[in-house]
Amino acid sequence: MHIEISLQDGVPIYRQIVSQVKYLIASGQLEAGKELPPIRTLAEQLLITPNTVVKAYDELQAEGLVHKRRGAGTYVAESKSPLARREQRNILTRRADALLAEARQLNFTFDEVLDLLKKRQAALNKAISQERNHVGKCG
Amino acid sequence: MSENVVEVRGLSRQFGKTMALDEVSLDVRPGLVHGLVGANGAGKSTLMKHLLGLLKPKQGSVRVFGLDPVKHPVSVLERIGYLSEERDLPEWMRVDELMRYTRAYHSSWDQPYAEHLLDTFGLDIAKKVKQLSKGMRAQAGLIAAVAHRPELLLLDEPSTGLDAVVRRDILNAIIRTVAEDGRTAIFSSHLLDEVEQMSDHVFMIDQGKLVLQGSLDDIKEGHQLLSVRFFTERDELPSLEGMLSAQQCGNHWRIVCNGANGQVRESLRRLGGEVTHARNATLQEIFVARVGRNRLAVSEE
Amino acid sequence: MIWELWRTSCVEWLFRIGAQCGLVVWLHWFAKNLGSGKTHEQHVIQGLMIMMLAMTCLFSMTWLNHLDNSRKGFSFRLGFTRPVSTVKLVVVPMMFVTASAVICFLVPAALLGWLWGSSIHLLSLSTGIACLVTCFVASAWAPTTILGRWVGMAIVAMGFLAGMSVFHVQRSDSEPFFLAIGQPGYFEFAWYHYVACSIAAILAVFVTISGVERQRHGEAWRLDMPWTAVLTKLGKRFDTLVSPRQQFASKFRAQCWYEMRRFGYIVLLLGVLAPFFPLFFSILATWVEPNWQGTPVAWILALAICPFVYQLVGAEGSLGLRRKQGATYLSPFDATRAAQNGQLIATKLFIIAACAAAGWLWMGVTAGLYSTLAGKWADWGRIGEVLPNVMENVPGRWRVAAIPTAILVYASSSSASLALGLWLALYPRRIMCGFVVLALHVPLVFWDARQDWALQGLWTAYGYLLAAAILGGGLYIIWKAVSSGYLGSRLFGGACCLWLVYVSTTVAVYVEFVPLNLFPPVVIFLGMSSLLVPLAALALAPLALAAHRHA
Repeated sequence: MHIEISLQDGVPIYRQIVSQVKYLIASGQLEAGKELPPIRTLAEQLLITPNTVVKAYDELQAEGLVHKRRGAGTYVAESKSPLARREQRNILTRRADALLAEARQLNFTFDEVLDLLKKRQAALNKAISQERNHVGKCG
Repeated sequence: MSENVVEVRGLSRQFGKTMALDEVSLDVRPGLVHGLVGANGAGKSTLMKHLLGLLKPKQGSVRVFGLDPVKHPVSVLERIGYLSEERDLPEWMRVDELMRYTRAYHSSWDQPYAEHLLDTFGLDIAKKVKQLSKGMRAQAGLIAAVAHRPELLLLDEPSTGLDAVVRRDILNAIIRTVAEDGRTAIFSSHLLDEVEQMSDHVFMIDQGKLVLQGSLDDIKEGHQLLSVRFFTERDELPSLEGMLSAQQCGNHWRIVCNGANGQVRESLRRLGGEVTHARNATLQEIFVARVGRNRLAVSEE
Repeated sequence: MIWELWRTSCVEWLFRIGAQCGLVVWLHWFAKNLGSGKTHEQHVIQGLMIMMLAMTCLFSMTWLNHLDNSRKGFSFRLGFTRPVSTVKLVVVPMMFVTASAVICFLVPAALLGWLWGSSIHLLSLSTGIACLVTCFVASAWAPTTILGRWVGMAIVAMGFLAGMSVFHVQRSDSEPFFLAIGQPGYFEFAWYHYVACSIAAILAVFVTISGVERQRHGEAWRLDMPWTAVLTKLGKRFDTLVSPRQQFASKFRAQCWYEMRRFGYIVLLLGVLAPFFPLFFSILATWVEPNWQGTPVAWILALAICPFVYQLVGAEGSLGLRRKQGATYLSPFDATRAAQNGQLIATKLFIIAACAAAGWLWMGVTAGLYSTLAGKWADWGRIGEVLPNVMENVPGRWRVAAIPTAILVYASSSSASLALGLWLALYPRRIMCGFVVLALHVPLVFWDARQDWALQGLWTAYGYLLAAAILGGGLYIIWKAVSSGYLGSRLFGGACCLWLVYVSTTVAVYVEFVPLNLFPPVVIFLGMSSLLVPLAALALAPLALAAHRHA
């Protein structure tokens, strides 16, 4: 599990862990049922106090994203809770905001952006269908 | 264990004319990592030495595990693992002799763990201490301090002068000690990054006085760093309530203020300033604000 | 650089000169009151004084500090990175040390000459001392290993003894050495004596400069002889031999091993080498005078003195204090040991006693071996006749009680030496002042003796005061040590048992052999209070250690 912490912005470390784990779960890199690293391992990896990891895992559990099994570690929650969906929407929203802000800076109008998106979606569809045909041919 | 591991009440100590500690009172709760920060000569080592009984409190009291370390050196020191600032080890001793000697004094010595650490660090057990480099000496001292699984781990400036590899070993040792139930660690450092990453609880000492203490998260949330731009150029700012330090950087000011930042913001607005950016301050910024040269004479919170 | 040296040593300098002048005055008074007019005796005392002054000057603290075994070679290494030439770097401190030693000698010697009204050859003696100091300093600074340093110093010492013997033979006086040096014309140097001293001094300076030059550029002055490799290998073998294989069975054993490795082996080494002295003396005496019958005397003297020598050396070595930037302190490694002060002290005392006992036994064995090999048993025969008669008069119970009494006395005197060493490191000035005050009383005693004890009242008062101080102070010390937890209950209990045996034996001896009605009450009181001394002395060392450990 790849997590990075930074001391630059004054955000508490446990909160950074929580948001990064949320992202990993939402983007599918941490599947349901997969075990999160043990507290000591993650602490040694990041060189932080284990109590911070405990705090982060507790908050994730409170939000229903993970659950602790007695003496056997922490696991990603099974159910696709509305929280996960909400987090996914948050991710996309952030990306959209960044795209729009950049477009504005580069003096693109909203219509030009939409045009661009449509073109890129078409290209993506073509690539996926080509991929499927290729797979089908090779069997 | 619901009792405090360490209780210090009203501890004061004078060396000649300087006040090394001035009415210091603190509690160390079990199971947490405590960071002790302060400038050089602020009193961190003096405080640590009191915990070990190396200094007898002339004023005030010190209790470790509920006992006076001067009166009960056996009960207290048996349960403490200590790495001194100077990595003080007898020069003529070999590494394996050091392990065997230390083992005799601590009944909770874990030999497999000690061997595992010796292996991991790659220390040659036949070498004498005087043949070891500074980093290896720190490693040897660390093994002697943690191999008996102490209830309290005391590290005085553990990372000073060491390379990144050894530093990581030492921090890992702290993590491992605390991750096991009920064990506590106190380490003093002037590397604030390290303290910020590794501490649950922070004690900040300046010129013998305890200027700040509390859980790290509370401290960080209680201090804000504001980037302020003024409509008219200002050379000086009056000291506002809640403002800890103010520094001019180009055309804006960096102000560190404590929790009640609503007040500070209001006062700044009245002075014609606009807060362009605000975030929690890092421990380094808090330290410099409270202890550094730009600090303002504000009353204690 | 001179300023640096001056700063670090001026106080000690002044103290030393002052102390020696005081000693001269004191001795002068002493000699005058003893039996004035005898030129011969005066010469002896004068000679002894000169020797003593010379000896003390040689061991000036300035360079003794540099003899610290942890530092090899040249001690002013900081100067290596300064823009100073090696010649200057070496010559300046060397001249300073030599000059300070010479001045330390000149001032009291001149005072001595003036008081006595006799002429002392200051120039020749100063030259000799300067030469000797220079050679000693050279031997301390030039070699890069500890072994090299001690070998160098031994060479210088032997060279000095050889030179002195040649000089003495040249004088061709039939008088023995100690009487001869008091004679007025003894130290008159001829021109070649001065030349010899100068050559030796210059040679020493050159050797030092070349040695330091090598050290400056990282080269060592090593004698790459075939045996150094063998010695290193032997050393490694020795190390594996003395290192423990399994874990220690108890804290006590671990601490014993630690103390033994730290200083015990030095006492043992001393014990092994010490019989060399009476052996050498006996052989020499027998060679000079074939009918010499003093063998038993020499060995008995050695046997009587050696336990105390071992005790002193052991006490000094067991302190475990480190010197850093002029301050003496207990290392945190020792201070954070999970043991009571009493236990740590007990281990040190045990090691001192064990090594001293081993050395003493070895001395006895060597005496026996020598006597057997040299066929000297006949001389022992006379003592063999006297001893059983003496022993018969001593009742059996006292013979039994002698052992615990001896143990108690030895342990308490070792403890007192330890305590003195520890406190001397903490409060050097106060203790020295105390000694000075005590020393000042001695001439007062002699003066009063001639005035027919006019100050009787003062002495009686002192006696009572001392007795009260011993009782009060002793009880306080014991109470403090036990109540602060420095002396554990088990150790204290053991000490008390020994002490009770000691008290009962001593009281019995007093009662049986000493006619009490002959002594004034103050002496009786003093005698009784002095019974507390061994127990209090045992409690002193844990207190002194605590003063260091819990600053």
